[in-house]
Formats: sequence, C-alpha cells, structure tokens
Amino acid sequence: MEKILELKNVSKSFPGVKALDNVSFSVAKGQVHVLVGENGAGKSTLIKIINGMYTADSGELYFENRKVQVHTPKAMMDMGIATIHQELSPILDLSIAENIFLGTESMLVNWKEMYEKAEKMIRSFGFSYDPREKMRSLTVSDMQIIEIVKAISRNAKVIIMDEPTSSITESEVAVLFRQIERLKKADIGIVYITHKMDEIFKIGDQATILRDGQVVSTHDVKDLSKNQIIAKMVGREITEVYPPRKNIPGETILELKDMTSKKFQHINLKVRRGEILGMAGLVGAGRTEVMRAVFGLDAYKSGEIYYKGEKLNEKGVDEIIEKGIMMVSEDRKGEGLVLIRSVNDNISLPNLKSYLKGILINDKLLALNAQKMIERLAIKTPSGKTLAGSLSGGNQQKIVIAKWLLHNPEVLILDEPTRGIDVGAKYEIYKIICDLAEQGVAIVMISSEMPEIIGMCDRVAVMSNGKITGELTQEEITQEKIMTLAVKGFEYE
Amino acid sequence: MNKKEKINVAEIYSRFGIFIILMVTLIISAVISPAFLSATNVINVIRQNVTIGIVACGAQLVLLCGDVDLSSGSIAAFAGCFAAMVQVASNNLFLALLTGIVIGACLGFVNGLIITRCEIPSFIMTLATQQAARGAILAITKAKPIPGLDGFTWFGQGYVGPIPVPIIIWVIVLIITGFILNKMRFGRYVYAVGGNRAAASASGIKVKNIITKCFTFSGLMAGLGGVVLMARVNSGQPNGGEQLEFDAITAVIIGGTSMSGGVGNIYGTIAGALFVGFLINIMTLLNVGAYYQQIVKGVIIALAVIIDVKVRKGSKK
Repeated sequence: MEKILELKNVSKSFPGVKALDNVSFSVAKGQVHVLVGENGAGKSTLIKIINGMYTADSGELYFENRKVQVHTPKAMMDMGIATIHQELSPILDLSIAENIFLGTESMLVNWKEMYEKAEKMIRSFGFSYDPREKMRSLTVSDMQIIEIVKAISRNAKVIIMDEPTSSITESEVAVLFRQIERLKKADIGIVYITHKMDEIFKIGDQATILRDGQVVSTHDVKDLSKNQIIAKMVGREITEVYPPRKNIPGETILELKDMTSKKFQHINLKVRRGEILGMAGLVGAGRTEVMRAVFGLDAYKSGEIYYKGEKLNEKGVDEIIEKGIMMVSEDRKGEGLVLIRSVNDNISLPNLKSYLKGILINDKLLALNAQKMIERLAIKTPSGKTLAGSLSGGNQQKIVIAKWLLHNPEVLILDEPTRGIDVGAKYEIYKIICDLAEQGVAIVMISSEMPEIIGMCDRVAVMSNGKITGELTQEEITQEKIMTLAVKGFEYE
Repeated sequence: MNKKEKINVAEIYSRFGIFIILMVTLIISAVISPAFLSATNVINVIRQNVTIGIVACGAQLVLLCGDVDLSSGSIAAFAGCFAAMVQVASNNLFLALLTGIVIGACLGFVNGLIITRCEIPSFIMTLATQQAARGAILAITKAKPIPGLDGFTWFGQGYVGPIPVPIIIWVIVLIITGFILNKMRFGRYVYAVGGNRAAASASGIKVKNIITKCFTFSGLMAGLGGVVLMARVNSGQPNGGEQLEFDAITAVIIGGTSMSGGVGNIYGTIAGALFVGFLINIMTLLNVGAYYQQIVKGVIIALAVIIDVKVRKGSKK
C-alpha cells in the first residue's frame, strides 16, 4: 500500500521527560492505523507532531513522499491533515455550517451558498442535520460527525481521531464506524487512538504499540491478539526501588456500598486501617471521581458510605475533614497549594482555626507547628517563609501532605501523588506513605503509574469506564492483570 | 427535552430581550410624558447618544472577542482634539475627519498589538492607554479647549434635509459594522475567536490578528466618535469623552452581547444604546435628578449582566 504520511526517527523532549524517542510511524492510503499505549506512552505527543502543534526535536516528516519543510498547524492542515480532537469542542454558538467552513470562508460570506454546500455535504454522509442549527443543540457524537464532515470538506488525506468513541453511545459508535469505512474507500488514511481493545480488531488495519515514548512494535492487526497487545503495552521491567513496608492492615475503616453517579456505577470498596489500597485504571476511568464523591467535593446519586462502621451522613468537605477523611488533589498547583504564599501559610491554611487567639492569628504557634512538619517530612526549604511556588515538585507535594497531617487523618486519599516528581523525591514520598500506613492511617492511592501501584500497594482495585472491574491482592498483582482489567469496562456486552 | 427549552429561553433573551424592554420603556414613557414622543425630542435623544452609539460599535467587536476596551473615551478626546487642530490649521474638514479616524485607529492598533504580542489582559492595557492618551492630550493642549472650528461643526450640528448629520454618520457606521459582523469572513472569525479560542486557532484562524483588528476598529470608532463629539460642542475638548467607554460597553452588554464573547449582534447594540438614551431622557423629563439617573444606570448594568450570566449558565448545563 502507498504510504501517505511517514515519520522517521522522531524524538521530542519536554523538560524532564523524553516524550518521544526515535519513533518511526506511517499511514497508508485507505488504512486505519491504530495507536495503542498507556497514558503517557506518547500518543498525544505523536499526533501533535503530526498535526503541527509541536515541532520535533529531531527526525523527519514525509507527506506523500515529500519532506515536510514548513511545520505549522496551518501548513499541515493545508497539506491535508485533519484532527478530530478528543477534548476540543467546536464553537457552540455558531451554526453547523459555520463550524464546517470555519477558516476557509472567502472575504465576504455568502450565507446561502454556505448553507447549501453544508447541507449537500451532510446529506452525502446520510445525515439530516439542518446546517442553520446551532452547534450547541447537537449531541457529542453528532458533533464528531460534523468534525468529520469538516475534515472531508477540507480535502483531508489523513484524519487523526483521538479517542473518538470515548464519550458516545454504542449505536453512535456504529454510525461512526460506518463513516470510517467510507473514508477508507475514499483512500483517506486514518490515525486512530483508542483504549478499547475491541475497536482495534473491528476497524484497525495496522497497530503500533507505544510504551514510554518508544515504539514497541508495529503489526498487522490480524496477526495480533488482545493479550499480545496488553503484554506489549505494559511489558517493561520494574527498576525502581520501593521502601520496605512494615504496615499491617487492620479492620475496615471505610466502606463504599453501591455508589453511583453520572461518572461511576455500583462502586463497592473497602479500605482498611493501615492499608495502602491502590486505585488503578486509565485516565478517565472514574477513580478520581469516586474519591471526590467520598471527600464531599462532588455529589453522588445513590449508594452509601460507611465510616468506622457507621453511616457517613456528612456531605460537606469541612465536615468530612473533621471526621478524619482527607484527600490530596492530583492538581497540586491548582487545588493543592497557593503557590504565591509561603510554606508556613500553605501548611497552616486548613488549620487556621486552631491558631486563632480571639480574632488574631498566633503566628508563633503557626510557625512552630509548620516547622515540625517541615522536619518530619524533610521538606527541603530555606525557611518556612519561602514561597511554595519556588520549591521543587516533590517538596510541594510534601507541603500538601503536611497540610493534612496536622489534621491527623485516618483515611488519606492521594491522587497521583508522584506525578511530575523526580525519582529521588518520589522515594521520599513513598516513604512518607509507608510510615503513615504503619501508624495505622488508611491510604488510598490513585495512580496511573503501574510500577508504583505494584511496588507500594497491599491491594489494588482496578477501575474501567466508571466501574470496578476487579481487585487484586499483592501476590496477584502483575502489569498484565491490571491492564486487562483496566480495558475490560470497554467491552461491548 | 428540558434542555432544549432552556436553550430557547437563552436565545429568545439574547435576540429579543432588549427590544421588548425598549418597546415597553417607550410605551410607558409616552404614556406618562406627552412631550416624550414628539419628533424633536426623539431626534434630540438619538443625536445626544450618537457618540455612544458609534463607540459602541467598536466596543461590540472587542467584547465579542471576549476582551474589553477601556481606552475609547481617552482616544476620542485625543483623536478629536487632533482633528480640531488640523481643522483650525487647514480649514479642510475632511482632512480633519481623516486625521481623527486614523489617529484613533493607530492607538487601537497599538492596544491590540501589545495585548496580543505581550499577552497581557486587555483590561490592563486599555486602562494604561486610557491614562496615557488622556494625559498626552491634556499636556499637548495645556488642558485648554481648541476653538474656531467653523465648518467642522457640520459633523455634529449639521443637517441633510431634516436629518442631523451625526445621525447619518451613526447609521453609516451601523451598516458597516453590521456588514462586517454578518457578511464578512472577518466577522465570522470574531465570533469564532470569542466562542472558543482554541477551536478557532485549530481551524487555522490567526487569533491574534483578529483580536488586533478588533482593537484597531474600536480605536477607529473612538476616533470618529471624538470627531462628532468635538463638532457637536464646537471646540476641541481635551477633557471630553470621559466615561464614554463605559456608556458604550453598557449599551453593548444591555443589548445582549455576552461579556465572555462569542454571542451578540448589532441590532441588540442599537437597541441598547437607544434604551439607555431614552431612559435617561424620560427621567430628565420627569425631573429625576442626575445623581439618581446614575444610580438607575448602575442598577441596569448589574441586572443586564446578571441576566446574561444566569441565562447562559442555564443553556450550557
């Protein structure tokens, strides 16, 4: 088959991470090439290089056998590369027709012609949307169809689809797949990103598996099995070292019974004192959402939470903190810290009440307590007065944890506690977690890093597509088992 | 189908809300004050509000982008005084007009350029321009009015047949702005940029250029507004046009344009400008004091924005 797009030995680094390492990849005319990999494997970086949003540090791009010289989003678009973004929404207050032709209009807008052309295109796809209608009135899958129409209207020769089925229903998926078949017949090359194993076999011609920024291998889909793909996705050796754990899990302290909301369904989960429970799964599986609901940040529809054997009726975050359940957000900079305030200020923020003398704050006591925490967690800071934002990621994370430790948590939920932290600091965070568990604190650790789950947890619950698809005890945990459960929720019944 | 109904409420409000309010205001005013609906009074009110109406056209484009321009009043004074100086020196009123427009556009262009290239909030940049331009024109004129405009006053006081010239200027400006927003590619891009900047840029639209052009247009309109203002008061007033930008923004917001950009149309802005004008007028006719009028204006701005936010929140849920 004739190659339409080819990447040769492309590398791309961001500060501290090698996002892509010597990646070669190609798409042929009329072919669906699936990109598979864990979160952070480099899929997004790869497609952003293809559509010009990033420039590669090294390596070459060829389009229709010609080397790409000007590598900007506009140039790539003009060349014939269209992207259907996963999260990028269209312009909701413009009409369907305006969205389709956005960026290609002539100086004067001929409304009549634009609507007629849009209508014709939509009809040719077998749909009956009114091009005058506002985009806002469409469902997500309708919007995706419109995005495809838009791509075709620009004579796209390669269409990148980034998890196009992540937010649409099964019947809508069928509609989408029919369109993909049509695109293939029209000799359009498709780069398709998905976490859903079934889809790979349903529409994929070739599959490239990425892991940690490198291509593991490229195969014809018909030569692959699901288990092979999973093994290739996770087949790394675990080299990191984890601190020894001496914690002994005790009785159940927190129990979720049949919790359901828009984002998750029928969650049953027990957490024990002194236990480190891992929550594994792909990004968007609903792990954070479940824990946010426990913490009182989000409402849930039905189900119950039992805490120390009693039903937890408290709904407000402040009340739940009072009870001893605390959560460290994954968004350290957004929700965890006030970066432009000092270390002391940050540590004391949730506890200010306890430093009040009348209406004044007892600065001495505040500094003293903060200092204790700085020592206990070995936070590397010139002083308590240093701005939190000037410290490294690892030390910032310690400050966030310190905030809660002053409150004596009994259940501590940590969401991606080591994201963006260097290896040395990671070990220190792990050590803090182990120490806390040893003191009897129940730890729930949401993590997308499999080695960390395997190295740290007594037990792991795996979520997929809003459901818990399985639990593994420490002896059972392997990367393959976790990944198998992590993609399970996407299978069609 | 609850969702659909809410969308319609939002749409009906942003399309017709201000027109209904305007009509109700007119009817009530006509009933309680016989003088209100006389041709002289109506034309007077419109003429008094022409400057606001012209500047509002520029403000609308900027607001549609999701930005704000606070420098219009100062630009109007700056450009208007320069136009007056050129008029005095050359006695060529079209050269004077051109001077005002070009200077306004240049200042707007500088606003847009710095906002987009240095990536600073438009609120701050235009606040800086507001101060600097006002200071500059006060320094240049030594804070003294520029008299002796002669024929130049035609822009503010002249008539073509029975219709005052400023009203004709406003109508032309409205037609141009409407044409840009509804018929030109540039206008569609303005809506796209205000609606979803990331999506617009992913569609190949040069977002920064669009925003810069909007500020240039806003500056141009402020310059033109300044010319009309100076012509109406028969002298170059370095202190003129204070608060003009707020009156213009008020008109646009009341007219249904969203503060967050992407939604709004020129008809709403016309109605918004007229509504404020007529409301002030009827209060004057009813002998309501100027201070109280200002209170009413403040309340109306708050109400318009509250309704805007509430209605739109409902439609997005």
